[in-house]
Amino acid sequence: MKNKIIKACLLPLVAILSSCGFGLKEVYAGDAYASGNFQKDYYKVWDEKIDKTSGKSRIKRTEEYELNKDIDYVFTSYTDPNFRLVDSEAYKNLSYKDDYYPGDGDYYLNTGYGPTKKMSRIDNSFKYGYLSKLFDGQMMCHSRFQYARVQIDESGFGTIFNKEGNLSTYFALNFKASYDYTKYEEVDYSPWGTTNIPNGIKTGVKLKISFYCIEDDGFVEKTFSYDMDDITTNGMENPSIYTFFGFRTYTYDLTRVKGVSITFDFDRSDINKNPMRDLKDNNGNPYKLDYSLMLYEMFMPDTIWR
Amino acid sequence: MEKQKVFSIISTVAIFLLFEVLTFVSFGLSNSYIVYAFLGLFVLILLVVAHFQSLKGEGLTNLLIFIIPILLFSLINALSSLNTATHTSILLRILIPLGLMSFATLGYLSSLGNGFKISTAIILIYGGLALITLISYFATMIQYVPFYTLIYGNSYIYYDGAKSSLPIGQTAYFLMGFSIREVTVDYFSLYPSVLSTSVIALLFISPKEQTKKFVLFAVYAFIGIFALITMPTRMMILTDVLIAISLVVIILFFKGKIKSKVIKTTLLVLSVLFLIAFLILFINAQSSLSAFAWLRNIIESVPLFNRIFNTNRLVSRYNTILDGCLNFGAWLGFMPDTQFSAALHYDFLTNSILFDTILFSGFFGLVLFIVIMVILVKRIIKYVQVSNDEVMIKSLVIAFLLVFFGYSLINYDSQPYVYYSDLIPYYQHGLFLVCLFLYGYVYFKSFPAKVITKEEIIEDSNLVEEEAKVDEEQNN
Repeated sequence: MKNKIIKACLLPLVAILSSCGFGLKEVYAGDAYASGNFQKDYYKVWDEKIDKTSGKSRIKRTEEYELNKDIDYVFTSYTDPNFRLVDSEAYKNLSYKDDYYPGDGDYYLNTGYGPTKKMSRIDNSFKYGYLSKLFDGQMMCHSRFQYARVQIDESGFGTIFNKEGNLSTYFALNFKASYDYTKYEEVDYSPWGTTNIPNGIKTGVKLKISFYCIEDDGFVEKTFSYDMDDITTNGMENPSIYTFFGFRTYTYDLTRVKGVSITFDFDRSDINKNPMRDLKDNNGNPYKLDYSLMLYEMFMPDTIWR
Repeated sequence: MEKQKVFSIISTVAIFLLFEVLTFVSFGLSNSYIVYAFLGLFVLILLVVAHFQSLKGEGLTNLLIFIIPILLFSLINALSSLNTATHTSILLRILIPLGLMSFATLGYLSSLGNGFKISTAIILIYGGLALITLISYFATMIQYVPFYTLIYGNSYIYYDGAKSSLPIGQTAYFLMGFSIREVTVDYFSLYPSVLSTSVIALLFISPKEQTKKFVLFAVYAFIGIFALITMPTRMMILTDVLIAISLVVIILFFKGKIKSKVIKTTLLVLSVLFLIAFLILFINAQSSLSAFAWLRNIIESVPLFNRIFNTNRLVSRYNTILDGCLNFGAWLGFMPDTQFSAALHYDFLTNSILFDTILFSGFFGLVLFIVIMVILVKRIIKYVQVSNDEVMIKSLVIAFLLVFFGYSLINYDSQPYVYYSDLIPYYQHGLFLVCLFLYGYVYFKSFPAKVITKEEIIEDSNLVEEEAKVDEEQNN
């Protein structure tokens, strides 16, 4: 009798033990980071394995590199001569402006850079998670606002991928800066695009891209920094105000890359040049200005993920 | 003699292949209607070659009477405007009638085959069903946890840059062909719902005398019921209750606790009620028919009727499909407007095979579908009365058909994929083909086999003696 009970319990036990919940790692109650309120939509999620403040970080050591425009073939636009050298095929055959919009399907495949080089085409695992926004081929806003971008502040975000890859060609990131279309709490807000909101403010940004490479039972954090002093804020749709940043990676040992993080520093003194700095609202509250980078797409072309 | 031997071998091979095909189709191997149709057609050809002698005369007439409604139904589906709008290939359009007729005819002719046993077929069908349910259940549990439909009912994941169109609680993972894909939980739950009917067998098999068979059906039933319990949704709870009631009625009937008169009367009453409700729904939905405006006014003025026939979530979808289906352009498939845009149709899917039939094959398709269902019910009643099959087999066949069609009437999802808009109309679904097979089998078995009585033998032998006497007298 005992044996029969044990045998009868085997199947339900196997069924219950098989429930791993892998698909439940990232669930959201609704539209995540899409309230439309600038200050509430920052994506600040760090995987605890690479978050130095979590106490569970597995970073064993760090390496820091200051990118050099000439040596590292750093580019900050699609027409930058360095990008032409790094990926001449893409530059010749693919258009920067023909990117993806939901509903386009494969329309711009093999003609648009974003749809052709997007990470979700390289590996299906990039289709899952909030950060799949950075891997879906949509490089620009297309009036989708918070639904198309990942908005970060200086503390940025850090993620661990499902698989590991080797970065042997180049890395690229398409983004823009903003501190316009902002809704302020407790203040009458001005919708973006009005003359009250500053456009075209140039700020200096030090972008930091960190890759986390597996070493033994931990990670080596390899951070690449680059100073850009002419990032322009703009809430409009003009492709020219996006920054297509990237650099060649094959001179660095970027094997077994398991994660990435993006943070930045920016020169707050530029805000002092902002004519809005001393303005106050109807209740006498000074305007609060937030600065963010709006990330649209991340590329690690020609990589293999296992 | 040699010819007979050859035909006998062909028949044996055909039956072996038939068992394989039934298992593969229940399992959903390749998830391709084209493959199923080819397999069914191939086995049918073998069976017809082996038994064409039996098909002459009355046999052929009966077969034609059986197959004509299915032929017409399948032709309408092949020619439907939905297939035109979705640019269905010529090959698939040709295979729709061939596949449907093949499986129905296979069921009809299977009893003629050497070595065919319906009990073996049933075990294999449930086996295929159990295997795919188990694999898909494990695939779902690897991603989620038991009762995730309740825990994460309103949570979403992000997929390909956007929030998923369905919350986690409405999705599951399923083996579609050769890959695991995200599907709706409604589509998934069709399989364990039908599989759970295998529990009936446990009441007819002695665990001591037929231990292996008992354990087999116990495993089948457990897989189905466990999957249903650990993945509950509101709709599934409703369908589970209806399935449970149906199974109890079937068991009580076959155990002799309910008289057939009671079942017949109940069926008749339910059919009449259903027909009246359907007619009211149908007429109420025809917004362009001013002659029935009085009925619409009555329904709108009574809150209960208004809720039942107008404003609830299920019926509002049915009304969209029914309205305008009598227009000339909709007789072979419903076009909500003049645009042949496939994407538009997906917004009109009703999760009901009855109303989706109007979408897929129009008013004519609906009429033929109802005709086939009426014939099926009549034949099932006859099958129960005259067939010499075991009671367990009869109950399993009826339960399979009842649960598949009953479940699909309120919860068949023709657009199962979460991230793709591909359609799987019910008539291209593997389990529908299995149901067609069982329908053919039931139809064949519902005609009493000619039984030679002892009196007839004595009568015949007396006749022979008399003839011999007459011959002798003549010779003398």
